[in-house]
Amino acid sequence: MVRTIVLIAVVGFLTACASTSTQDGPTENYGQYQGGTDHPAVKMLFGQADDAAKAGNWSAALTYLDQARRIEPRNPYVLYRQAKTYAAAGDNARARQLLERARVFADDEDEMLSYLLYELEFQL
Amino acid sequence: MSGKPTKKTTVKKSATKKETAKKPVAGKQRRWKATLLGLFSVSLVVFGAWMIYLDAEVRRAFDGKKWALPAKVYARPLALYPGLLLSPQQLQAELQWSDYRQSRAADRPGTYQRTGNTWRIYRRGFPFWDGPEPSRVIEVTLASGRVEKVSDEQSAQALVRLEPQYIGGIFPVHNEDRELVRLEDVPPVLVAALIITEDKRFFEHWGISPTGIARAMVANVNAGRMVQGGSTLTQQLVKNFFLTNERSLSRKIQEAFMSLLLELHYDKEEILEAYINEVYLGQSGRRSIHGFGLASRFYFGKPLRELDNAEIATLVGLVKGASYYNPRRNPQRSKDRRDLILGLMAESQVITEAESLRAKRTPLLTASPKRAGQREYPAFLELAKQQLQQDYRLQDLQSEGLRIFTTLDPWVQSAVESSAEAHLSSLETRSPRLKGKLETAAVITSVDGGEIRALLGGRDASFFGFNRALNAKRAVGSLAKPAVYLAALRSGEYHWGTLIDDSPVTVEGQDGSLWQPQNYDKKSHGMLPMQETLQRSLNQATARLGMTVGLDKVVDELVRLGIRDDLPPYPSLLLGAMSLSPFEMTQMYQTIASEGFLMPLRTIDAVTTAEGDMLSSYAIRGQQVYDPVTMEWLTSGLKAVVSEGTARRLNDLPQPLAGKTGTSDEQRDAWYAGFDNRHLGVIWVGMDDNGPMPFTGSSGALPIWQESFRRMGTEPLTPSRSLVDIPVNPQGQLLEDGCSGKVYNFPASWQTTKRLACESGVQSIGKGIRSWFERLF
Repeated sequence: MVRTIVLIAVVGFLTACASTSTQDGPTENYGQYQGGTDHPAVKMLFGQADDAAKAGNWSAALTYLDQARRIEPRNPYVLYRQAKTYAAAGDNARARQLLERARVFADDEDEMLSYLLYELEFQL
Repeated sequence: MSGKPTKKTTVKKSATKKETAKKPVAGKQRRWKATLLGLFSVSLVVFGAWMIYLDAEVRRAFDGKKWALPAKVYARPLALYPGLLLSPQQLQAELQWSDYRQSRAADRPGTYQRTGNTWRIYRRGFPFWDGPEPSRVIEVTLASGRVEKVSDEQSAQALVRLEPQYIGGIFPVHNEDRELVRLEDVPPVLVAALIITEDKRFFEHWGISPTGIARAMVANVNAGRMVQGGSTLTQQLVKNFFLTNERSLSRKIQEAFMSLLLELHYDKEEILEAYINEVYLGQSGRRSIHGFGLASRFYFGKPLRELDNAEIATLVGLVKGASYYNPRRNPQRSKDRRDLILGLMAESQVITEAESLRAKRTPLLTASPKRAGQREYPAFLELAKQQLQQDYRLQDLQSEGLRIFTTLDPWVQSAVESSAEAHLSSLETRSPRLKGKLETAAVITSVDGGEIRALLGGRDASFFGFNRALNAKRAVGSLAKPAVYLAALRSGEYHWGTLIDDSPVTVEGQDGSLWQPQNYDKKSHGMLPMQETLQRSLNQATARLGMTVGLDKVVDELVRLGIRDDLPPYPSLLLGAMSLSPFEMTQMYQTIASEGFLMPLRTIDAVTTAEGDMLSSYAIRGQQVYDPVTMEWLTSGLKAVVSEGTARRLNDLPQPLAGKTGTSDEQRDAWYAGFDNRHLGVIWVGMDDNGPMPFTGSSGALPIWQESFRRMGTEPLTPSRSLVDIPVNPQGQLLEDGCSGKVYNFPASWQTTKRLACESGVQSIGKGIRSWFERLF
């Protein structure tokens, strides 16, 4: 219960921040969180996706992330990143779909992931 | 005096007469001259206009893009990373299909060396969707059916891709395919061999060669038939590039003038490069092979620059007659021609005499035209083309040389094709009257992404025609039953241990007709736990359950699972009387296998231009239409079908697996839909005339799935994340943990349901038994 209240408060604060940062461009918030996998191939693809996204090449970023998803298809962090990238690319509908999909595989005990998912949900 | 004048007069008269006689002749001549002059002038103008027209034609067609380049379609690249499920057989096959050759040192691109479980592969460079990658040496070590390590010459690598296999093209109407090459990439020996064989004076003439024509005429007259052509390379190019195959004097004249014009505007190198890319060199089914670039890959499985002298001579020999000198169909004729050309090459000092002799001793070796790298996948291509046309114009797909990266997994496709053929042959051996009549269709997808990994449109996998996977609408039989059980589970009134009555049932249809389904064994089985009625695929129990839960609820589930066809709300729908394609059934089971994520099944990963710039990419998309817990719960019933029910013959594969058999009325259709942790497969077997068969889903379709998955490599389903085990007594009542009773899977929320103590009687508590009759009224 306490955790939920703290989370909501944090998310509320971040949402306020997010609304200003989006004015600076879609890549502003991209790729904040670098974790979410121990798989070397997935890490490599995360890196490639980050580079592509920073260059504004959303198509390439999404394709790298989809390659990562094939290696770890039920890793919620991969799905979260896909959702986040869709959001950054301006496709909120697909971002919501993948956010929901990430929740299917999310572990309730993983506070970092819960925070990230809530944060993204508030952004959308 | 008078006489003279008279004479004079006479003379004059006669002169006058002569003059008057000459006047009409001269006038006629003048008129003729004028007419001729006029005709000549008109001809000159017409000729001039024709020349201007021809000139414009030559320049229009030759400037800029010369050919409509079909889109090239590729399978998925094999991504190698530690942990990947990969058998040595698969790696070996994938390399062979990509035209890799085993060598002692793997010292050039396109070769590999195997030492025990370690593979040293000299991967070729390839323009992937995200940019070109140069050729490089990689080492892959396999252990226990998985990739243990991937490294290059410096260090361990996280991920390396092999280049994807070509799986077909999207061709224009004439089905021409070619792989464009630049003149500087063509081996000089090939250029020289071509010139000395086809047109020795190519670099000297102006497009036509009068001496060549004269020589050909003499030879033809002497032989009494057409034995030699006098066409230069330029004329051959003009004929192929601009004109038809018509043999007439006027066409020959046009060809000559166009050749002159071509030589006037373009240099020899440009003409030669166009010739090398244009010339027709073979046929592969519907696809015509043009140009030396593609012919090299098609006949020898390697790029042009890797050809040896014997191979070069073989290809040059095809110019005279691609069918007549086809090295696969007419090997001796092709070899004779090759050796003749090798002799010419030595004579002209293109190669040495020793090289020529060495090449002549080389056997005529060609790569199989049916190998994966050159064969096509018609059923998959049809679907890919349909899906591409949602975003691209057909014209662009046929002409812009786009590169299409798809989801097809050649290893999976190969497993399905060979398993289907083997099993259909064995069924026909058992029932000889069915020989040649049995057909099949199959769809294999990835469980989590909805990517289509294999698609079989019929027994003949290379047939461009009726695609049963997409277009055969067949009664689905018991494959529809999971929707009934899903509706029951979602109602909150049932669990897998609930007793269902499998006694005869009669249902009145909307038109007043009575429907009385029977079980396959024509027997009734009384009260049985719901899971058992599913695993045994009992029709009476399922029909009763469906009617109790509500036909509309079952239709709702089918729609939510992804069935978009009109579903007539008749009770027979409960047992799968509706007709759907294997593709549509895959869509339904995809939603179940993926824990409720309804996603369009897709074939395309990415599209790039011919230059490699990405145009579009297609990642996962879909909608979570079910609570994943509910889908896991349904899947636990489908696991029981495999472990204890009609699909138990799968128990020789790693468990658990989930699936459902299906057999339509009079056994006209045999189905199996099932999934492991990675792949979902839906298999159909039947006859095009819809005739009955002596097979069920379990004996007709399931063995194809079984063998396919055995070959592909099976990964058992992962344990449920959200279900709990609760014991249930024979009356279908929930017991407390630790009690003896049959254990069923339940969503965790059921744990709080009030349960009977271990020693309790049969008192109905909570979600226990309710008779169908009680619930119906």
